[in-house]
Amino acid sequence: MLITIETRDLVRIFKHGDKEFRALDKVSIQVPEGVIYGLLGPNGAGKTTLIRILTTLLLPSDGDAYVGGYHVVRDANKVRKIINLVSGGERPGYGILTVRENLMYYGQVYGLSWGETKRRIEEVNELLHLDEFLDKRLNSISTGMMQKYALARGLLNHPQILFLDEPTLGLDVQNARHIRRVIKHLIEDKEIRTILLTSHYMAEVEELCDIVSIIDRGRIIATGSPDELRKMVKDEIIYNIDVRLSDIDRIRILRRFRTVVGYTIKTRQLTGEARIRMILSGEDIARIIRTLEEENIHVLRVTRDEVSLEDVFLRLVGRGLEDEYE
Amino acid sequence: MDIVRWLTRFKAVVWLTWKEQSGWTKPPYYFGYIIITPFFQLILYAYMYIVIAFYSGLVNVEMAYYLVTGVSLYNFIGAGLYGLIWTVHSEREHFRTLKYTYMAFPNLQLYLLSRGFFHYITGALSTLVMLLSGLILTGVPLGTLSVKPMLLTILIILGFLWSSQLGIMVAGSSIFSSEYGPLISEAVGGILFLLGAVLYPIESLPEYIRPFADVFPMREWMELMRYALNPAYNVADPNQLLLQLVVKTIIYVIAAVIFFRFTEKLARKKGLLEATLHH
Ligand SMILES: Nc1ncnc2c1ncn2[C@@H]1O[C@H](COP(=O)(O)OP(=O)(O)OP(=O)(O)O)[C@@H](O)[C@H]1O
Ligand SMILES: [Mg+2]
Repeated sequence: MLITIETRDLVRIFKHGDKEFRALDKVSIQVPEGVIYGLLGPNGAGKTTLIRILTTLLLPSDGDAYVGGYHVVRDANKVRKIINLVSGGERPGYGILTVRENLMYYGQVYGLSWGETKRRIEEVNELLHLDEFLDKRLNSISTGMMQKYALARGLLNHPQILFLDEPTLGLDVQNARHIRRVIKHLIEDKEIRTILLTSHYMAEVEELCDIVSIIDRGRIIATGSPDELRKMVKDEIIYNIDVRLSDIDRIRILRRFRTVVGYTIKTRQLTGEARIRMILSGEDIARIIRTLEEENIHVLRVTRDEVSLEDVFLRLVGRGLEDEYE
Repeated sequence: MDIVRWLTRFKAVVWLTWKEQSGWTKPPYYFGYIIITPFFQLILYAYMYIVIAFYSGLVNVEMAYYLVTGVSLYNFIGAGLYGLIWTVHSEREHFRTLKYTYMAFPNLQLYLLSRGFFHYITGALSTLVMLLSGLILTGVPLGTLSVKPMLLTILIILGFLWSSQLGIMVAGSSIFSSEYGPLISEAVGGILFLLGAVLYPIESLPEYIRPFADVFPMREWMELMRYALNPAYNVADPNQLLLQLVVKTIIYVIAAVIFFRFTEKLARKKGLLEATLHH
């Protein structure tokens, strides 16, 4: 198996005044060719920092990283030739130019001729369906279009390795789905050899990635296929309990139960409810519900659920991946 | 092969700059704008000169020539320099493209040079318009001028070289600050204007300021340009000046390459190639 991206004990320290902050702490990953590799982690975990180092935008404080066999510090120019980067949630580009003009510009800056760029835009267009906004000014297009444009730009130079930093950030369900389909397609059709993507949506990572590393506070805490990772919580039981939003303050009593390995809360303002997702180390649900009712917390629904990557995260880290509450 | 790619890149970057600069209007209006703005600037100086001439009762053709050439030629250097320095700022903070351009263009320094190129062309255009109309306005007899084309060409190239290298160094340091970047560019432009023999010879500056003026090749360039446009213009030793200009230009080129490598490295170390506003 050919390894296309490799890091060895990668460290990145940021200095805030005289305090040091470790954004990456001895990160070692190996990304084989032909896969979509996911970095899953909460806000501030270090995902973008890792991508910035691998795309030569940032120097590591310690450790080594290789992309396509080239060292990201010593052979940065060679690395840049075989990669591209697309970041979600940004609006980079020249607003006064049309989407097509932006792409024409970048194609040539990547070193394609005018004719080659034109042809490449046609190819990319077929993949991403840009027609409806190709001749609109960049500053007038929607977020969904923007992200497609960004992906198009990222494909212009025929990169072997593509880095996607939160590629569906801020997109609606439909656009996100489209982008995910394209990403999958890129690997299946061997358009791109390897993709490294970051996300804090576990569903996205589960759907797209062949291998996933869970990252938290600058450390890789688990790596494996989504199935392998899910097996890490095979002895536990997952329950969703829906309660009223107004009861949520008292939900802390769940901590009293030794069987509750961890829980996350997702609030739904619209319905005035909250969903508590619990990992139990033993079948104890009846007692838990009885206690909740005794505490005047009205349980609306109880459902058992399959293990997801989020549970793996919760189990390993002790807090939720997308915790909105707490 | 590779040279073709470089030319394609260069062409694309010049095209982008043209679009960026002129995108708000139609091309004829844009050219009108480039020509008319310096014209008004010139009228201001011409007016000042006429007022002085009127009250002092002296019509000093030499002084008029000095002023008009100074103010117009400054445009060439100034326009190029500003354009180049602003690139880093606008690419990072406004367009948010700096990181992508950095990854795409094999050499950031050459990218900035290509971006600056367009500004030098428009600068040259305004200079030409200002020079001609200024000389006419102040009554300098055009018939007495005789241009030295060879020297002029060399000077234009040298002027582009040293000032763009200065711009690259300033642009390099503006990577480190999103707030002060634009300020630094204003400051450098101002220093060149004040210490570059634009409105007055540097001999009229206080003794202790002159060494600062000597750091820049602006004075040599200005004086030689005046001489190249009108050999009757009195410079002590043109050859000596040219030698000084060439030496300073070479030093600037070397310094810029070294300095820019250093800033690029530091920018990567600190992660400053991406927009910094949100930090
Ligand atoms: N230039 C910088 N200076 C100081 N601290 C920084 C800098 N860049 C990132 N950090 C810090 O490093 C940590 C990791 O940031 P990073 O952007 O890699 O996280 P992330 O996993 O991408 O999070 P998110 O999901 O929010 O994008 C954060 O705490 C961040 O504040
Ligand atoms: Mg991030």
